[in-house]
Amino acid sequence: MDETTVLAELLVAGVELEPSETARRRSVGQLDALVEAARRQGGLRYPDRSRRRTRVPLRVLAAVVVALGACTAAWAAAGRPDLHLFASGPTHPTPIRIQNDFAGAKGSLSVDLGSVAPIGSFATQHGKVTVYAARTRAGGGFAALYATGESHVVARMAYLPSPRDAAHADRRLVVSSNSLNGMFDGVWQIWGTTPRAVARLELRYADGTTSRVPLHKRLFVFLADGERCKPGHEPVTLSAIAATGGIVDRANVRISRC
Amino acid sequence: MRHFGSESELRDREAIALSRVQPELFRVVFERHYDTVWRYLRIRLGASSADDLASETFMRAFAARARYEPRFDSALPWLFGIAGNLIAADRRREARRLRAYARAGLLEQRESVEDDWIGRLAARSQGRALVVALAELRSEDRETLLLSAIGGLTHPEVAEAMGVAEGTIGARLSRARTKLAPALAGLVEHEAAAHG
Repeated sequence: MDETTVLAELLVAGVELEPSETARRRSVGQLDALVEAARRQGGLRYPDRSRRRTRVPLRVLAAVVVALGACTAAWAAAGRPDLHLFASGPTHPTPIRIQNDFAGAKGSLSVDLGSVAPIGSFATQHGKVTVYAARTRAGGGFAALYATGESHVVARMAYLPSPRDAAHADRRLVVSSNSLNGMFDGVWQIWGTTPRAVARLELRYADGTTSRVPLHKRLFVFLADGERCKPGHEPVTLSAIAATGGIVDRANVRISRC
Repeated sequence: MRHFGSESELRDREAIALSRVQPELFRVVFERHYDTVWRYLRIRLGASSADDLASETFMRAFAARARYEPRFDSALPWLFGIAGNLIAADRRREARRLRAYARAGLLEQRESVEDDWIGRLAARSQGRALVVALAELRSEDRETLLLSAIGGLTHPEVAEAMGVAEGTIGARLSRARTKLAPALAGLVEHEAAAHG
């Protein structure tokens, strides 16, 4: 162990490391008051008191121009942002009830039903969860449907890859991770896209064990819970492996709290 | 069937960007990082200060969200930077306390600072040498070390939080580790012996 680790252990020894509910509620209340004030005043018009305000609009405009330029260049270089991840056709294996559930999603969750595809099934403490995905009709994102024996949940998963990642998505693993608390407590997922020419994905944990991650074309979603949340057993790296066995790319994985 | 919106899926930078027009989305950042920021402040300053300063950190972050320039997926370096500015106000008091511990009897002063890291370290056998070594660090080296040790930030993230070049962080950590190594080694040896 290096000095930093030793010092960290000394500093946290015997300390209560969770804020009290009272403190949290007070903080939430104070923040909500600011949020409400900002909303009444129209979002950005909320005064930023700690800076000279005359400079902000110019900087915001400059940032927007630069960001738009970067996005346009990246998307132009990488093709469509959704990378044509999903196939459609007469052999589509998605059950009709799943299609119907997707069809019921409105607004930003409204999907292209021809693009619905099964991604994988996972054993969790809530039973088997099967994940389906489909392109959203707007926004270049995609939606995921988590099906259990008795209920289905649809959630939007934002851009994939994001405009920032689009430029290198053909060559690099693009990985996101998040907890599914609220839908399936204690379950987390990693998801993203792979470079071209990847035959399989391997998730390596801190204890040295590995899992094969289901891959649908270049899209992957992986769910896990329980032991895989515990320190020393958490996922650490995801490797994209070519048919020849060579590693195409490798990315670090950090999961949020389960 | 339930339809979930996208809030929990938003990355920090997306949530902060969207919160400029939908302020309530800043709650995503709060829910995600409040505990971590509180924990850092708790270890540095004690529980009661952590309650106040964690709240203040997020309020300042919310007010400054229009100027947020993301370099990382996580907003933590930015939040730690804000928290660090708040701590800076307390830094001179912290440094005075360190010097006092280094000079004088520790036990008499323990009660008043029992719940902060200086008091906890000083209360350990052999801990005084470490407190002395920490007191002798330059304040920016100490801040860098604590952001790395307690905050768990990487070098680039510490650099972002402190607003300095990444190379500077490496130099500061190296300097701090060199100065702390003898005291830490003594403390670890002593505790290993004490626990058989």
